[in-house]
Amino acid sequence: MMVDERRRGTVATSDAVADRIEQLQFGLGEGPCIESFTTRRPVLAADWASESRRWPAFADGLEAGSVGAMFALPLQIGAITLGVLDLYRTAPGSLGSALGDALLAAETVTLALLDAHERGPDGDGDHGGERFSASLSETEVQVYQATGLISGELGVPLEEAFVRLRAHAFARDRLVGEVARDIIARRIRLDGEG
Amino acid sequence: MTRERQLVGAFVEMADTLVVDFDVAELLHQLADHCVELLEAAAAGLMLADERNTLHIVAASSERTRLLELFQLQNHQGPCLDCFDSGEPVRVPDLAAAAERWPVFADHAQEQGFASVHALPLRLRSTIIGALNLFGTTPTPMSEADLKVAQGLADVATIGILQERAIRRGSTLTEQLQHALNSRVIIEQAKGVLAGRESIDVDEAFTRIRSYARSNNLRLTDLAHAIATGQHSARLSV
Repeated sequence: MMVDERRRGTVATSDAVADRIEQLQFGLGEGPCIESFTTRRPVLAADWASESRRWPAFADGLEAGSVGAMFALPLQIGAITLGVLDLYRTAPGSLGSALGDALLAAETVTLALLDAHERGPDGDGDHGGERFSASLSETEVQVYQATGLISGELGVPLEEAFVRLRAHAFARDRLVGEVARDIIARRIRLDGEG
Repeated sequence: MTRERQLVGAFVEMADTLVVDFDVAELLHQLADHCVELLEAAAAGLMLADERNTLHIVAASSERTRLLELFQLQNHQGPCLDCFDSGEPVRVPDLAAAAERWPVFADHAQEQGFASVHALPLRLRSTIIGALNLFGTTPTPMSEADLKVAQGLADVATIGILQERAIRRGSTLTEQLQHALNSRVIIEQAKGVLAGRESIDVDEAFTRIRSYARSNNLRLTDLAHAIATGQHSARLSV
């Protein structure tokens, strides 16, 4: 997993192969993870033997037969791009029905990273764990707009605006979508303190 | 201009868009506009499904927030959801008669002055990736000829979303859909940023972003991304 354009690096890996995958990609500047981050889209290489030709130097650096398939999922919400979740499996094959779970995992990690970023290492804030895109499908447009609006008004990055929006809702025991509507209608304004 | 020439013009314009490095968000917005012009619809919207079969609005002929809500509402009930589930067109010439089928949707749609609604599948062989949604202000059925045009426009949208597959070798349907969906989120964020910066409403913000992208020959998604991330901070006055 990588985080941030300026501070590229690996945050966590599950085993030695995953560690090698990450180190190689950053060393060489190519691979599914790098491509996913720069294009802001998932990169799904279900048949590594044939698809790895897109990244020849990276593929050469992996131990033969150690990887059968590789999947890179961006950790992003619109223009908020935090990093990439890299997954590999030893046998080739698509994720199939597990793809939905993998995308959900990426989304959960994204929200967790945003919250962690906001509260710092000692905080205990939990923004209610409100599932984002599924439960908020009716109000998601407003949530994205309100995030931008807070960012534009206060001159803070989208990441911060989004966390403030959710924190405001949580602190007042309101739904994020409701608060978003109020912000768009200019009924409430988050001040500098959020 | 005759209708035939209008039709040819629309399809030629969209074919011109499908060049290397085209912007799927811009294509889908063009398409929503053409639906309104060619089919005399009052409003049109394109919805795409994500991996969990949740429908998201990706482009609409008008960015009125109330209209966007009407599209989104259809994750619970409405012609788009039924069309997506069945893969078949859903025709509702008279919304007043649909109150039992979709009470909440029919109510909201009529409140906004709509009297008819149609939904057509965005279909790739056996896979349904979303739906085209058309609203009218008079209770009239869509003619067979118009339905064919509408399905043709829906097919162009599907081709547009998948076209990039040919360009980005090996790219999968999921990759394309996730990209189109995320582009839409970027546009919403950019609308908000501009609205907050310039003290205008979000609907006006979209109009400015789109016309600025057009007159400066920028891709809609790229401009929206630059605005959302604060890299483009020039005033977009009209």
